[in-house]
Amino acid sequence: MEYILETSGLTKRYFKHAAADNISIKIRQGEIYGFIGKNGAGKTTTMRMICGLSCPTSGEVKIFGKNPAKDADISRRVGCLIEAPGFHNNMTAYENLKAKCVLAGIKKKGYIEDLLEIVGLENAGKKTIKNFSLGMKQRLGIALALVGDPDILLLDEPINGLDPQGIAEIRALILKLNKERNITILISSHILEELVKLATCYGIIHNGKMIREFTHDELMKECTECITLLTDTPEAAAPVIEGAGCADYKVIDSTTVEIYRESEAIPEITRALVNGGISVMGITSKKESVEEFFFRLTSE
Amino acid sequence: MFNMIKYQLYKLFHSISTYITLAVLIVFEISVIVMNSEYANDPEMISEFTAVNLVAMCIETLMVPAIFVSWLAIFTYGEFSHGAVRTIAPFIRSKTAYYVSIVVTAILMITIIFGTSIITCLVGARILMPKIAMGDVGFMFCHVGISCIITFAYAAMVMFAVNATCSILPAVGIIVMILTGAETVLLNLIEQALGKEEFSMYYLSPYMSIFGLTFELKYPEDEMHIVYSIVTAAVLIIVFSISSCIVLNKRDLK
Repeated sequence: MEYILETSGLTKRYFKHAAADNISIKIRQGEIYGFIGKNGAGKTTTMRMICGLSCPTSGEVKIFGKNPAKDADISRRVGCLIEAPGFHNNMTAYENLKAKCVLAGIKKKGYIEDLLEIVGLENAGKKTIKNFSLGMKQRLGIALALVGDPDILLLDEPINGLDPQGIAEIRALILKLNKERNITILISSHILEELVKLATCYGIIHNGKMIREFTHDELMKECTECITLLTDTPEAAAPVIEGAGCADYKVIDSTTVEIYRESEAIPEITRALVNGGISVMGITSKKESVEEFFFRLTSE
Repeated sequence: MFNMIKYQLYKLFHSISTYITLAVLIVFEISVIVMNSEYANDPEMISEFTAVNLVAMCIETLMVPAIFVSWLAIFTYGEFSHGAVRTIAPFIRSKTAYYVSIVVTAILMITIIFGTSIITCLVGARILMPKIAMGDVGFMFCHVGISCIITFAYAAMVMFAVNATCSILPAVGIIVMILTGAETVLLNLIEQALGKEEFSMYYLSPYMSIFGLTFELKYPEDEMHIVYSIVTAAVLIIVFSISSCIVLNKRDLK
């Protein structure tokens, strides 16, 4: 089985408005999939359909190749933290976890203590939720999502409203769960710089439509500093560029070559081109941030 | 299904609202006993007044059903209001099973509430009115049983209102309706509009006050009224339960 989570043509309509329109996602085991989109783009709607909170108008969700709506054992392999974490506020953290363990049929001794330790709340088990800070609530939300040892974790804006330290802690926790427990994670956020530190692949959703999917390497390539060379002989320039130690380049058209290097390499490349007899019509450098890249994609 | 019921029962016994509800109920019962303790010193009344009458009085005021229905509204709404249902969504095998698990919990709670009501009245009467007789306990259980069925009809309405709207406001309306007898007023108005007197036999809330202090059938038609009330309650329970299941299955969980 190639994909652990697959959606095909997932659509959710509210009357005439399509909150999610024909969304197709493919996620391999062990990946951290960053789901990027503006507020109201359809991220939460899509995640709600995946975890069974809402029924798709059309399309299908497959987890391990099976439809979770038809196979309850499959749906239990998904843990979710959708929107704000939901708790029974008058119960303690331990009782909230215990309630979900009862639901999941888990009777293992020390299970709840282990979960609290994983999320760094080992000393807060007896505290009632109403006394929790936002960061603690997010951690407990993740602990609740981990009940039943899910293979897939759906995290909807888990770093929303957190301070920088809280964000760093949640990031470290997500990476730890992915590496140590091999949990596949679908995480949505509009804090792009944070997602870039976590995700291995991405999907950009805009106005309910999936506009592009790409890997982390592809994103880095799009957003790294790039030198644009204008020449009338790009084919002849290619071996010279390679000779100058720039293996990563791309011939864009009959006059343009993009070289993925920092601007500091411009003098060296120019020298090599002149020595190689290549006419240089122009050479400039540009750098696009992840944010600019996202804006470009969503404004197209 | 069993795990879902166990989950609801865990919530029931670990939720502060359950204990607050029982505390309010006990305080109410004790205040009723204290207010009626003068009967214990009145030689004329004491022969006609029994401990079982106290239970009837508490039910007659409709506070016991209202307390139960209020608890149920908070319990059902709690899952939606705090978003707890979002966390357990992958474990909800079927929404009908989810509804059934709340019904089972509600049945247990209604037993606890009416049981607490009986025990508080009987024990309170024994302590504060040691001279009064116990009364017909068998008949009391029969009356309380029927009251439970009627209360459950209101409970079914409340569960439907909460499940359909994800809001507690319609449930509050139903609770006010129980306490004020607005249902009777509404049906009276319909009767007047239609020029017929056909609904009065099917009223729910007046049932509980039929017996009044004497805990006996006062009029020959009372027996028929009881049967009609039970049938009405049963029909309401079935209709609102089916409606709740349909609404839950059609609606997205919030």
